[in-house]
Amino acid sequence: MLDAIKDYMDDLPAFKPRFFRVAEPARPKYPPSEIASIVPVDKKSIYDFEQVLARLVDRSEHMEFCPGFGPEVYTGLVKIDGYLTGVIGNRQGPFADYPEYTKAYEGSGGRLYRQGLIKMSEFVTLCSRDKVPVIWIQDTSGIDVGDDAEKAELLGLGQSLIYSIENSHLPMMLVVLRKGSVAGYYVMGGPVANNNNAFSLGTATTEINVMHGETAAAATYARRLVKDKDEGLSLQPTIDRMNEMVKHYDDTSNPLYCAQKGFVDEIVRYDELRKYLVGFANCVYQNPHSICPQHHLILPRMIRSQIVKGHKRDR
Amino acid sequence: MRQYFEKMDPLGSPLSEIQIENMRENCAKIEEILQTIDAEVERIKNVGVPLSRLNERGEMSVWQRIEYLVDPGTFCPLHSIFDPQNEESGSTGVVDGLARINGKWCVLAGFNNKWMAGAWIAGQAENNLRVTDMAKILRVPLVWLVNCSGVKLTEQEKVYAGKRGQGACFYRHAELEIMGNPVIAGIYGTNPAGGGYQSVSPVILLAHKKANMAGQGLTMKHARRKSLTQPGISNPFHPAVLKFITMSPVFSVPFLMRKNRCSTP
Repeated sequence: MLDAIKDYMDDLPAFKPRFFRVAEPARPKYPPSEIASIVPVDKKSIYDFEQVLARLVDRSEHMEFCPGFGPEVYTGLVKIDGYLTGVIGNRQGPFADYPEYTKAYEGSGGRLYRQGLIKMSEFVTLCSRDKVPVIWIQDTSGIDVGDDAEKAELLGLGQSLIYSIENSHLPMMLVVLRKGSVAGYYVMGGPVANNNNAFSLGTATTEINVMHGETAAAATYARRLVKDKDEGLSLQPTIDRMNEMVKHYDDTSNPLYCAQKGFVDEIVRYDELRKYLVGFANCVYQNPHSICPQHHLILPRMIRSQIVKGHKRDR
Repeated sequence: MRQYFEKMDPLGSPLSEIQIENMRENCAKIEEILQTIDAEVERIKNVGVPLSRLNERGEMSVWQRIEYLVDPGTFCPLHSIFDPQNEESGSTGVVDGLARINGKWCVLAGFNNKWMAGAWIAGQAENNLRVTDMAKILRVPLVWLVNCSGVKLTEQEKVYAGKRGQGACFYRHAELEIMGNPVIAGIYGTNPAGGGYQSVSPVILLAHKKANMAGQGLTMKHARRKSLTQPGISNPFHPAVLKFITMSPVFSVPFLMRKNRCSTP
């Protein structure tokens, strides 16, 4: 029986790998197991996204798209098992003199700003043009909010990214490396992209919720605390409720819960992530519904062009 | 285009000894978290009929079937601990993932025949929709290892009805077929009712020599005849009830299956 299935698989159409590969497959230069020594479990600690990516892609090589624009987001081309693949991920850490639309605060890691949102839309659209599948690697605390952010059109630009994804008709996969929060979890190729997101992976450091438990408790009970204080009541009962809420968030945001409830499709060890990337790339290029000839690819040429590389757009 | 792709820009750098040392505790925490996941995966594999008893009966478990079928090292399991509706087994009764079979990639899904003979259980409909969605988005064949005893009748309200109920999978099979995506089914065991549709909706149907499938199970057929489905059964030893227990199964086999009967596992 199982041999008969194998026989039928032989009869199915599939392009041979060399038809679409842009280079010979090669392992990353640095071992994927080292990612555990890069990504902190503590969500408030930062790390270098490029160090993670270097441990997932062929030969630890890439071509970054628009490096001088939207620094909180990485966009670039990599090879996975010799296949050309787009990657979009969140960079962590503070960003001096950024975002450009406010002097009130500095950019922080995992948050999305105007340039980053525009860059992602542009990259997805170009990947669609070149028929390059996209891998999203999320560690996001959402899109910037506040008066300045509203004036900078961030709400609308989030939806514009959703439009670009839906309009791309590209197969995509997602790794929620650490945080998947607020609208960031939706707009960055999240599972809700029902026509594009083939599957989503979590890791040991994954946490998915609408916001962090402490933030949610503060938002829910801040006015109650003020009222209690004004009325001379003990604050302890409200504080207890806040702590209960934080614990509830912890219990329903952790990797085990995320996988059980289907927020992600599997929790994967860091050193197994590449195996899924390889499976994804091979699936996508096995029998695609449309083809962009390699000699007509435009994205790599844009990246190599000095017009784009290193060019700082108006901020 | 070789100049663009053969050698791209270097990315990353080696980790320093200090960083590796500083992150040792972090690595230990990560391992601790992963152990809870691994324990749950293992628990689900052991739920239901013991593997040894299954093998003594001449059956392989779905995991053994997958291991035999898939090119070594290529199976990427998904939904291993998916249990959106807190089912009694803590699972959806479906084992699936990306896999390569004889050099071709596919989405592979099989019913866990260790638990209630692969019944439709709570949460499984959602799992099956995800499986068909994956095949659709990736445009790869969907391969089923069918072994499905039909709906778990004691919890039919969690399984059967609604827009995303268990039957939606059969429409998805049709959708995949219309877009040119093959669906292949290897069929084992007794597959009544929904199990019958699960067996008959793919493009290629391969049945094990002991497999059978039908539009409805004999139990239901008999229950209907004896009005046992009406409320208020007062006698648990009603002849019709006893007949369920003693009757040997005889199921209809669609004629199209006969040429595809397989006698090997």
